[in-house]
Amino acid sequence: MDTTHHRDPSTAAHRAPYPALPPRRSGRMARVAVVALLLLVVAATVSAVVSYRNGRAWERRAGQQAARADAAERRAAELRGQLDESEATVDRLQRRLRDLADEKAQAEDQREILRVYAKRYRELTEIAGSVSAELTSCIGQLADAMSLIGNPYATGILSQAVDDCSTALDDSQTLQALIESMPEPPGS
Amino acid sequence: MTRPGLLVVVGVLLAVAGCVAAPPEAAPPASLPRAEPSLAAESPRQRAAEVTMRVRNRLCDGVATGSGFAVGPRRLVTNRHVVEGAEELQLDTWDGRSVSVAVHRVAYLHDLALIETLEPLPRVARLAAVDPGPGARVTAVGFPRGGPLTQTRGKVVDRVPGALGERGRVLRISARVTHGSSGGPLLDAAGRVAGVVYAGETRTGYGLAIPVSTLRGLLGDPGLLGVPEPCS
Repeated sequence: MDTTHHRDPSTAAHRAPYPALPPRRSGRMARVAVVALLLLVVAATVSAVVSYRNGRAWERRAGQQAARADAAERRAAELRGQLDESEATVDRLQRRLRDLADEKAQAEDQREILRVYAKRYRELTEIAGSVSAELTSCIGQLADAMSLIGNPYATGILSQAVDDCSTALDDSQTLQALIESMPEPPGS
Repeated sequence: MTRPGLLVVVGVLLAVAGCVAAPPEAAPPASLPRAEPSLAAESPRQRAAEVTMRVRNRLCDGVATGSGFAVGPRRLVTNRHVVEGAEELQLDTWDGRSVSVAVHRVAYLHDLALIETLEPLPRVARLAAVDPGPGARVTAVGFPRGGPLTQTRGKVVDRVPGALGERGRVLRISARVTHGSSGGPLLDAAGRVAGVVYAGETRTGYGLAIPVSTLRGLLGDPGLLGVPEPCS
């Protein structure tokens, strides 16, 4: 049995290895890669420069804002102080206003109480006047009765005098009780 | 586009996207938004003082003092017993201004009275929507013994039958009240009127107040009011 392998000359050419890429295409790829890298480098550089400049601008803005915030805080503290002061003043004035209003109310209360007393004193004075008149009449009638002792009409006059004097004494006692019941006026 | 070209474009875009943006041209506003002013003049204590009025009743044979509070621009609420037997009623505001009385009416069923004034009142009180429950914080405002305005804090203890034989139940409060406080407002924690102070229990020291629901009923029905007895 023949085990020798025979190569078919007709297919040998087909099984030959692929030829290497042409040198022209490899060079083009390298150029593209270089250009691409250059572009990337340029883009990155531009980006870095822009970023740096913008970063500085942000930094300046942050500084400005910090300064403005400090100024605003100082102004706020100043205004807060003024507000506290104003509130204290308002509070003090309101307290003073309330105190004055209380004093005025007390004075008005006193005025009204004194007005009531004055009215009662006027009433007492009127009663005292009528009691005085009654007592004067009583005395006059008693005097008349005394001058008519022995006269038949004296009994009638005396009886009238006693009645009038009794009324006058009753009214006088009522007046005395009213005077005693009067409380001391405020502030006396 | 070839794969290397695509990579270049993506790379450039990434490089540009990595740029830090410039700050905006317009500066932020220099001033901050204004806050609501809150001066001592607007404190709850001051508001309570402004709604409360001093009531002076010149009787035929004396003078009585009480308190009241505005429920309308020219309308004041106080107690019936504060205005009874008046020959003349005089009103003073918290800052000492006198206000003239046009007319006054008293409630038949409760110890309440309404006074209409000629001049406007300094501040109108807000009425609470509902009566305060037990444990609610309240403040009794008034002019005890005709003296300076006081604001006495306490809590609602419970509801009890009226002490003067009036209809309905009244609030019993831990704040002590005395003569002159009658007719003053009982304020809740929000500064709204929760009741009308009208008496005190000598046994317990508790104050008594007519609940705001009763007051609302009175304000909504003028038929419940009548002409008071004149001074005699």
